[in-house]
Amino acid sequence: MKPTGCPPRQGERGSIVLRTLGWLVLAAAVVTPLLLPESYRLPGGVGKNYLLTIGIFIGIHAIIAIGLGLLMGYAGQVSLGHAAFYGLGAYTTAILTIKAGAPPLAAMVAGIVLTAVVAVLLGAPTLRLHGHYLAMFTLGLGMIVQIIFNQARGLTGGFGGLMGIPPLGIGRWQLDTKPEFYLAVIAAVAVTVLLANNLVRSRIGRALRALHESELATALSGVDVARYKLLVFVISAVLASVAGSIYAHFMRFISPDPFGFAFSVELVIMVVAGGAASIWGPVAGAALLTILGEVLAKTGEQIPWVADLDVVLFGAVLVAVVVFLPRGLVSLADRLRRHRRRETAPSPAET
Amino acid sequence: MSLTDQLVQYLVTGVSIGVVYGLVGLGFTIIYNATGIINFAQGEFVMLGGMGAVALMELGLPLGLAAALAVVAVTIVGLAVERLTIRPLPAASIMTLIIATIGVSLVLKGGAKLLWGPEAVILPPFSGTQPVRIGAAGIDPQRLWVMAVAAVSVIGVQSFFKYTLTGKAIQACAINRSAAQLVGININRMVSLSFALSAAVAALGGVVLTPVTMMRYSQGTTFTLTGFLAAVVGGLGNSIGAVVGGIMLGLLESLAGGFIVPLTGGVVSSGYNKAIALAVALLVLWLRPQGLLGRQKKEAL
Amino acid sequence: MHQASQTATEVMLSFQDVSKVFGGLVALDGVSGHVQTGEILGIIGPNGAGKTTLFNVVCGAFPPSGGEISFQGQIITALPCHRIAHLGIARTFQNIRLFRRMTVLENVLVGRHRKASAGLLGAVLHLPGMRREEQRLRDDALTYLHMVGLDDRAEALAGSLTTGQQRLLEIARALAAEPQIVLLDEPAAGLNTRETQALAEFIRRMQEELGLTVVLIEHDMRLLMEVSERVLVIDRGRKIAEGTPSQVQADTKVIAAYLGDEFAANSAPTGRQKL
Repeated sequence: MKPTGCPPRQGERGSIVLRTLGWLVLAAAVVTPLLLPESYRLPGGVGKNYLLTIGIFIGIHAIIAIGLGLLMGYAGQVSLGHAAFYGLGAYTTAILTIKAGAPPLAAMVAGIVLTAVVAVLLGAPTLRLHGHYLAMFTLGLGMIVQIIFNQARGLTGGFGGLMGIPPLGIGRWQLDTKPEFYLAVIAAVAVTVLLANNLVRSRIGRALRALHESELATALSGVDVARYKLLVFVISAVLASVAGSIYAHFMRFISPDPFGFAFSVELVIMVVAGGAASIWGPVAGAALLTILGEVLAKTGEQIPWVADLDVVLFGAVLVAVVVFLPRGLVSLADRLRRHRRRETAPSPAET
Repeated sequence: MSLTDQLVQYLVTGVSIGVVYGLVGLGFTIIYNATGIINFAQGEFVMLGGMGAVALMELGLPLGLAAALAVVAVTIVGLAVERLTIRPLPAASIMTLIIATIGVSLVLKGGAKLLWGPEAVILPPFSGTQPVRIGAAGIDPQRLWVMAVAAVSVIGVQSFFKYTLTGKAIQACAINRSAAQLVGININRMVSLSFALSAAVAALGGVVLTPVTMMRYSQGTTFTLTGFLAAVVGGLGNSIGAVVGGIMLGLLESLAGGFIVPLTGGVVSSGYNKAIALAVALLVLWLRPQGLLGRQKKEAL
Repeated sequence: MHQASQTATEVMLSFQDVSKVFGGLVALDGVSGHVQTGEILGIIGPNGAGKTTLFNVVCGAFPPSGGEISFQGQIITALPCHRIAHLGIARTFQNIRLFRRMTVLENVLVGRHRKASAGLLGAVLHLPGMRREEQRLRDDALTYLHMVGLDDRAEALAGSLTTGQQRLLEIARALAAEPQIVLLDEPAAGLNTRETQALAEFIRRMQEELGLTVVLIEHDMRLLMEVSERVLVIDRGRKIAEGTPSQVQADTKVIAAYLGDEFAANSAPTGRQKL
């Protein structure tokens, strides 16, 4: 079974009860950090502020992961360099708002346009490749972009990065408190999920799922396969760029560090662990990895070597998913359902 | 220094880093020829060789012994990787294998980070730091060691494949798996052997390069990428090609580093040298995926 | 939904001197032929003769090493697949290339892709125009499923169908594109006698009711000889005979190709044999 999985057919979702339960849990998880009193402390001294921050990062990562999930799960292309697009969005936002005084949203749009152009230019050669060639090609591209971030000192501030990024906002209304930012990110994630879901359940989405299974048959149905692959590539790049802009406005400071191979791989793990061929899978994967990373970092403050566990753990998660749960976390619900059905009623042998 | 002397410096630097890329590429080729798989963790073998030797030296072992044991240890790691992750997935799709071997490389990389922390480490040079003079240029003797060790490794591997029965058996697995089985070749053992050989060769490269460039847990990826590109540039599956490809990439990196600044009047910094070498390699990967020394691939249906 | 076919003497598809070489293997060696508008043309030949390769070249899966292909007077050699599909050529596959993890209905919907026009904006926002188009597409797709008798399985996964049903689904998918010509590659492989008979009737209906031109590769001699008006015989990449079914069956070259030269001296094999 491929970890980039098979897109679910319409109707193949959990039962109504399970879904409602899932929505309630999600709503609770999202709303709780906002409702906590300021003085509340979880074990480890973790408070409201910290939870909101984690939530924001989960949201930022989820936006990229959804895009990457479309690329990997529907178009079947692996990208080991997506952090580069994340960085492009972040740096464009930072450079334009700091050095040109541009309004944040305009800078974000500029980032989107630049990323889209780069994605189209790089996408054309990328999508002609397959398998390992594609993986290594995207890896190489990502490395080149990170080198540029490090070396173009005049523009990007080099290793030191850029600071003094203004807060996100329109005109005089700004998101300067954390709860406000958190809400904005939640809204952004919700919109992304909605639009991605719409895309998948459209003629374009069908064509993508089809070309994942047989490019030839899809092409012969009149689908310009190359153009569609490029479309998904650009969409996934643009989503990463938007996430990068949000990240820049949140941190108010960026450096080349987060925009390299390590993060690209983390993104792939989020998608694969969550379930590539779904919309909620990558979101779940983003939550899993972000929380895992934070737990390790926090514990590492008390027990130093735990902080160094992150890479090993992520690698183990990846291998475990590939071997035991190739279609990711979201397939768990399916598997449980099938297992229960098999136990209650013996099914006739399949033809 | 005159231009010629500078050139000699850059050439030596370029070839010395290039042959290590070539060794990694050679490792890719060996495994690819035996199994058709690209082992994403190949670069980690280089890193583990170097860092392992450092760790053993810190335990008190002399350099030579530490180096030898490190190579042996990494060879065992290579065998473990094959046994635990490749063999259980015989019918896996390409995408699955890519992701699985990425997972393996992460585990190895993470293991190094856990054991030895995030800092870079260094080995003492094999024969001191007194520069060897070629003309007016001073060459770091360790770099000569790198080239010598690489040359011996390549000749050793080539001879193994050409002249020993086991070597030919491994080649047979690549050419026709079922036929090889029919004549009694133990495929599993040949695959294990190919992993062991690739790991050993890579670890050797890591050990001999660490005194020059230091080594840290995250460096494996660069070696994986450049080693793969070296193998592709030379024509995937062609062992000599991989080494030649590696040398070419190393030279490109070194020469770019030396000449970008004067050529662009200081506009482009020398830190871009790696990016330039990578860009050229990616261009070859895109335009001529069968490599510069490979033959035209047959069209697939 | 379909236009009536044009006058029967027009040539719809023609291939001249088409060859295809793979490395050292010559799959097609200068094959020429044509398909008349509205006819049912059969193509037979021993395994590995190059029949599927001919289909692949015609529909653009890969370019020929030599020769030209034209469709309704327009040269289509080496055009990309999707352009050729838009011109009105559809096909099914010898090894069934369905989208197994999509539903039966979705498979046909993909087949109908070129008949829709909703763009990215409509798709992402589910605009009313897009939704109306989707509903229309669904209704049309169900009609095609009804034609092949699969409308009650519309929501089943394509991979869960029997071989016979899958072949019918492939045909429905091809028809949904409203092509002018359909290339069927061994549509009867794996079907029993009853299913094969139903298929023969369906192919005739495709010609008479839908006004389609059909080219049919088959090993089932009975089916092929029954529905084809003309037959092309290909052996080892070359056309060795062409004519009506009875002409071809009596052709000694054809008998030799299938059974070896010793049998060529005797009379033709009966139509019941599956070669």
